[in-house]
Amino acid sequence: MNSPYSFSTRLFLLFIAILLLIYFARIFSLPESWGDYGYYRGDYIDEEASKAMVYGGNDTCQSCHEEVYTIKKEGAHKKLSCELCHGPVGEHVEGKRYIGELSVERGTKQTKMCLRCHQEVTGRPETFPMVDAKQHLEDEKVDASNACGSCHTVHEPLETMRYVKRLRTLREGLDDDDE
Amino acid sequence: MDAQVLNYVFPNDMHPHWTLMIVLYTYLTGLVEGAFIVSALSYVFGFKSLQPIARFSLVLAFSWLVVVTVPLIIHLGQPTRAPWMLLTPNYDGPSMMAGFGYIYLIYTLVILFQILFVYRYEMVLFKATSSGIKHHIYSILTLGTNDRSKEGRQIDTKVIWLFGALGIPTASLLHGYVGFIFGGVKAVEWWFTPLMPIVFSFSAAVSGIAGVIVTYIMIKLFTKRVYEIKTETLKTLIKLLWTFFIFAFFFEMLELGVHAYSVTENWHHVKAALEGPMQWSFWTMQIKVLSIIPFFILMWLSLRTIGRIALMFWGVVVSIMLLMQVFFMRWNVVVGGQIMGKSGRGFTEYFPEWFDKEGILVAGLILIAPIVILWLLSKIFPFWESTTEGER
Repeated sequence: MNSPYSFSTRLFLLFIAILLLIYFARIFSLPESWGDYGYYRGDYIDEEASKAMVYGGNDTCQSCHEEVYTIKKEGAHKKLSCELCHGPVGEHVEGKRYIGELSVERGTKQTKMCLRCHQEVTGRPETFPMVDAKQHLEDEKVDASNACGSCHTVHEPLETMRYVKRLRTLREGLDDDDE
Repeated sequence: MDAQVLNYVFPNDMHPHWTLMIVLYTYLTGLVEGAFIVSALSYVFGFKSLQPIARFSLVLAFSWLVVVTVPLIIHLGQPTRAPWMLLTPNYDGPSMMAGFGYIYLIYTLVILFQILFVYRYEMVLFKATSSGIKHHIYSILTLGTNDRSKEGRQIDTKVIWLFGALGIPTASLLHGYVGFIFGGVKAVEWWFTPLMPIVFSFSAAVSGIAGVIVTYIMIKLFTKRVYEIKTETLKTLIKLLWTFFIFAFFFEMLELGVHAYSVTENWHHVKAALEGPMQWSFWTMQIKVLSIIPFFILMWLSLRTIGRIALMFWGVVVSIMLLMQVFFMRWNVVVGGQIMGKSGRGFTEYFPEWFDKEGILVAGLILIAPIVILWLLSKIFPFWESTTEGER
């Protein structure tokens, strides 16, 4: 206890003890499958894979809803995932909800949904169809209470527009004939 | 608080994520390094004039070191994440902070062990004369030994030298690493320079030495022992402060100058930041008020023969100015780098909340904490009167 080296020796042993503590802390706290494939828990892959399906992709929707899919695949919204608006298919087939929450109610709620992408914002490319909802309704000379869905069919937004355009062209053609 | 946005900023960098806590972290780490350098100069390089404050600055460095990780853990939000970074570091890339953790751990052990060796003999003596809790604390700190031999004390001196010598590179590495954490961020043009670790390291020494001067004089003032302040010690500290400050300041200015002259990529953005949102905090405060004025005060104090009282007064004034300068420097680096949008065009704004989790009140408490810790440590490790002076 009174040797001149006693303090140094004990402190050195303490240092070794600290190193061992860190070493064992790592061994004991590491999950078993750590590092099996990389810097993560190997079991994680199986855990994730065994989770119940939430999103199914458009093919899953198409298998039952062929008629809507046919309309959508030709239109301006052809690149969008069904579940983007309708919510996850996993919940739908389990019967928790008939359909995703977002577009259940038509009207203002649906309008909000549309404006998520189509609201006029400086950051978006100019070629992207954007509107200021109020201004758009005024420009088109329709009642301000109208929602987007009143004129645009959501699965193919330009369907009605094309139809109206065709009618107008016919009408103009007829008018020209009259003159 | 809504951020004021200037020009165009991408939506995802409207809000700076590294807050006042990160500023504090870099600041506190720097204080540690500077205070340690003062003690190392005495223990390793044998600066006789710094001997009276060698022990004090070592304990002071330790009291700052204890709180270094506090702002980081507050910022982390979920403190249990911190040990994982240290236990499972990813050497292939993203575990930069794990590196800091290891250096911090090594440095803490170096300083702690050095303190134990510096006070070992006295603690053995105190253990015999004290009772109660103090007796137990000394028993634990001396690891149950009672050696009073001359040989034992010779070993102490050698080990203290060894730890001091180990501590200098570790201290430089510790704060250089903080600089590296910023200097390694390629996406922020204001940070991305190999000079960052060097500038950080030198300014760390500046803040630490200034911190030693202020606390040294203040403690003597409040304990009414101003007569104990050694003019020679103070003069050496001020000369050291000037030396390190010259390096810190001119390296930073040179770096800026090189960027400005060579018009490096995105210099237009850095220039606009320095002339716009950072005009006050960088040019006015950090450079004009808190660098150029202290530079001349320090020059005067270092090169001329100054009276004792004037030296103490101006020493404290200039040290407080430099403590603020380094804080502004840290702020300008941490916040400045983040208010510059990745668009290369716009700027956002950051000001901490008063009562936020990472706000000004918390920051104040963290800055005060080391003073309380220092006071507690002074109960166990006496800074000044060496009871063994006669025997040395």
